[in-house]
Amino acid sequence: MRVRLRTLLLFLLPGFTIVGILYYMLAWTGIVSTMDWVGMAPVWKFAGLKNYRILFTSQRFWTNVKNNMIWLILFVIPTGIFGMVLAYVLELMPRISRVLKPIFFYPLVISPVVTGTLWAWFFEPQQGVLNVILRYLHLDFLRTGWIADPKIAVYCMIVAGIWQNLGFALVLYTAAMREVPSDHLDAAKVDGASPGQIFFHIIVPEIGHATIVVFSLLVLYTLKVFDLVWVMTRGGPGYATEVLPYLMYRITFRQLMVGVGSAVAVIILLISIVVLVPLSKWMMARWME
Amino acid sequence: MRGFGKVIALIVILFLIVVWILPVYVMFSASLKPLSEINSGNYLRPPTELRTENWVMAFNTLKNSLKNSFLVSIPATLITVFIGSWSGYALAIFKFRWKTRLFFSIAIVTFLPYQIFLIPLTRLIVDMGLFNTFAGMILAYVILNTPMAILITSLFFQTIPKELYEASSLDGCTPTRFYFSILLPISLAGITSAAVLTFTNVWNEFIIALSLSRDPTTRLAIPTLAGLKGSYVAQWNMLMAGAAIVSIPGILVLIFLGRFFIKGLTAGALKE
Amino acid sequence: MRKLIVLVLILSIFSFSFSASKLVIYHWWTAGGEKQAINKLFELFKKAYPDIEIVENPIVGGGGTTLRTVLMGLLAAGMPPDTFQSLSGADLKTYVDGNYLQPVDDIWNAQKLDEYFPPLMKKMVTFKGHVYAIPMSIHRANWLMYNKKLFDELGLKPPKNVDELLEVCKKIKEKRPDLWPISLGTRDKFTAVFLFDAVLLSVAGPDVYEKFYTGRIDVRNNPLIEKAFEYYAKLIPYIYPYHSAQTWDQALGRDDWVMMVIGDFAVGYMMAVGRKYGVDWDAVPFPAEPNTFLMIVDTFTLPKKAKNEDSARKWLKFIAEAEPEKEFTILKGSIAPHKLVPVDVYPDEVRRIDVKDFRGARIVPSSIHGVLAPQSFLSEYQDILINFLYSPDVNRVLRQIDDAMKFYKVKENSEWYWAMK
Repeated sequence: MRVRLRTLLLFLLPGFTIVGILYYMLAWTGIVSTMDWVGMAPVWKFAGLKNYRILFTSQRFWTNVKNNMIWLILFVIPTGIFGMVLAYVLELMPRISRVLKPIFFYPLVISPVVTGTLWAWFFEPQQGVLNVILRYLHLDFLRTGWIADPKIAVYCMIVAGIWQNLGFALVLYTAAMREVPSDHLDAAKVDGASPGQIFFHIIVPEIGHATIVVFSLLVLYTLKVFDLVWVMTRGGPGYATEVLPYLMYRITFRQLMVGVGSAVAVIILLISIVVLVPLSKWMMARWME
Repeated sequence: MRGFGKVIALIVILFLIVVWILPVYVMFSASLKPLSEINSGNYLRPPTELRTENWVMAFNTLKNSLKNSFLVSIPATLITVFIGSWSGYALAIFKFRWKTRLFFSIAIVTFLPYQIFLIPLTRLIVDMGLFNTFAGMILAYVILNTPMAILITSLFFQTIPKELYEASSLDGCTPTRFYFSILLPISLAGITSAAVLTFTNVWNEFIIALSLSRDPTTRLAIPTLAGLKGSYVAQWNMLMAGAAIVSIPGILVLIFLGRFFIKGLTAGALKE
Repeated sequence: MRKLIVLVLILSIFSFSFSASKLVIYHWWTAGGEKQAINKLFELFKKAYPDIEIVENPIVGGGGTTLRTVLMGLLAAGMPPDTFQSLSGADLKTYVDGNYLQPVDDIWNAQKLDEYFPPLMKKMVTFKGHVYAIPMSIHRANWLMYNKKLFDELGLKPPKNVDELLEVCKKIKEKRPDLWPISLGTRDKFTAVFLFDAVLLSVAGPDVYEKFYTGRIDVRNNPLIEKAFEYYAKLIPYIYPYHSAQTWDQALGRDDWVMMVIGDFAVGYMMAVGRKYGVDWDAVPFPAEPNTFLMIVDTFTLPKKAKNEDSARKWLKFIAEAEPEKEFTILKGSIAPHKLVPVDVYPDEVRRIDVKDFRGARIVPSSIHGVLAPQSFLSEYQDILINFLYSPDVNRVLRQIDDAMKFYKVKENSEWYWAMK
């Protein structure tokens, strides 16, 4: 609906002032990424794309990118889909869901600092919960180094991430599903549709807006995940589980190479744009007028 | 077939419950153990003696900071969700030229790990004279979380039928009144989602909280919690007790806001 | 809603405290024995200066990693604390280079620290000819703690150098193949460096050690460095394989621990988990020949534009005195650098040996925690070593270290160390 410019500004200004502040800080980061700032105090010495060149020729950087890609695929998609299915199933069983929902929500309010510690204990090869259980069930062949194995550690962290964030997808999807007009559902039931059919043909399309939000925010989380990595493995073994936000933190605050760290930040931004723009465009086309 | 499906669903759900509860169980049982028991390994074993003093000590260390965290998180959440939904409303419902572009511009800025903003944000808060104050921390969190709130609320508002708006404006309802009297009550579910997420983000945040507060009177819960661990000393038991304590407000907020979900459900029916 | 805004405003006004004299101090001693120690220090300080209110900001993060992060924001925003904790050497230098610290030569001289501290300490806090921090607590990084019960059972004696260490490992593995002779917890990445440093000292000695970490050795072609890494590789079969899943205290806390190269700060931990010195565990400096003291120093600084500079100066003078240092270090588990603190105030043998060696043996700064080489290099170096432990390729690791040293300009950034010879 059309409104007067005055009204439009009245509503948009508060939110977008804040967005503007963030953009200003973003620009600051972008500018710093072209500076040769090494050390505690700001150094405004222009260095062009030197910091980027340093990153692109570093094997560590590419390991990080690979890890982020793994997270993007193996964390975002399962959490999003799983959250959707779970929300639906719980909606179908209202009595159980009253007990279950808090169980799934609880990890959301636990600090990542704690989550990382708990799951590190879980995946610890010698005395960790998982291997102890496997030993108990005589499934010894499945026991491996888990979090101490550079090749598998990433996946362990993703499991921890899913554990923590499933509740988030659940919250949003539940809210969305409750907004599906009940007459649509009733009509389908009258037509003899099974729960599965209802799910695929009615629910999924009608919660499209929630899907956009959930997946976008999950991608966002992936590109932000820091505390969990820091606590669980410190990016280790070595740097096998390091991800870009962690790299940025390390470079900026441990190695004091702020210029290079800002370059990592800019790269994270570019990756998110590359991933999210097509994703949102596709989703918006399918689910909005 | 349907009955069988339900059985499978139940088994899967049971398995999930175990997986989801296990870490929490470990957390609680570790919080009651003496330190030597934790390090000798078997995390699954329940504590042989209940060291409730872990909880007492943790609580004493945390109690002031818990209060502080409330004083910061609740206003921050309220303000963020208000501004977020205020602008999200316009973004979702009004028609204007650069709508999609504005939309993307918000999405982009939500994507960065907030540590990047640490240095400029600290400087901003200091320059405004709000360093080491609750107002400063609230402002910082509002700045960091509003874009996400705008995003979530606007996408939920998309589902409001436009006819509702047309009808109300024909009745002489101004956009502002629409926001307060109709939109908010109807979209309670979407707004509470945004509120829950903002609250947990703010409550669990670490580095900004650490940087913007200077003395114990303003320090928040999570930095204090991390301090229970110690630099060369690892007091896992106290840390777990503290962690459990710190997570309680979060779950209370969830339960409390969960009631609004139900309200939203009935309001949605009114929508028809 | 309006009430809320008013409440917030009132609260923020109250946060602007109007108080007499304050001391805003940042440190990282947040829990356990270290917390008791710093509280005791505050107690004594308050007795000496009752009108100064101490506002402490304990920020957790071993070696001050988190503290440094927070400080970067504060210093850049022009809000320094009145004093903050720092390690010495290259770590301290980053603050000096950023032009954030004031020299404290006057305090150093007033407290006659040239007399009371070993000369190496002055080197670690002096840049461009001025002293920039006051040290007050010393830890030693090269202790070999061992499971005495097990050693007695198997009739073993603690090793004095790396060859003997290998011998002992072999014997243990033969008799008890279920055990891992070397406990290691590289979730705390610095432990990998601790272990290597011990090997390096034993193979090449303290002079080469110093030169290595200050970039003065041609890493790719030096036979001693190569030998050190070969030994390091030889130890791998005896090291607990899942070391990156545990922190050092978890590794040490297990019932099946055998030996660990760790600092004397582990003594407090041993006591906390109820182990008896001389019965369950014992420790020897490692390597015992040559007897080197790998030093870790904690200091306090004086930032520029500190709001309560006067209080900060009083604090710095205070911590340089023997009595406060004594009280602090007893509780902390460290030793005091001050000469006048007698050996026998320390209840445990480990620290008494520490003091003797501190005053008598060769002192060398411990590399990690950013003291010799710059932090930027060390941050990468830790990971290089850990990767080596997973895939020991000596030639490759030498190349990696050489490249890293060149990239992070270790040689240039360590000139300060040799400037005061």
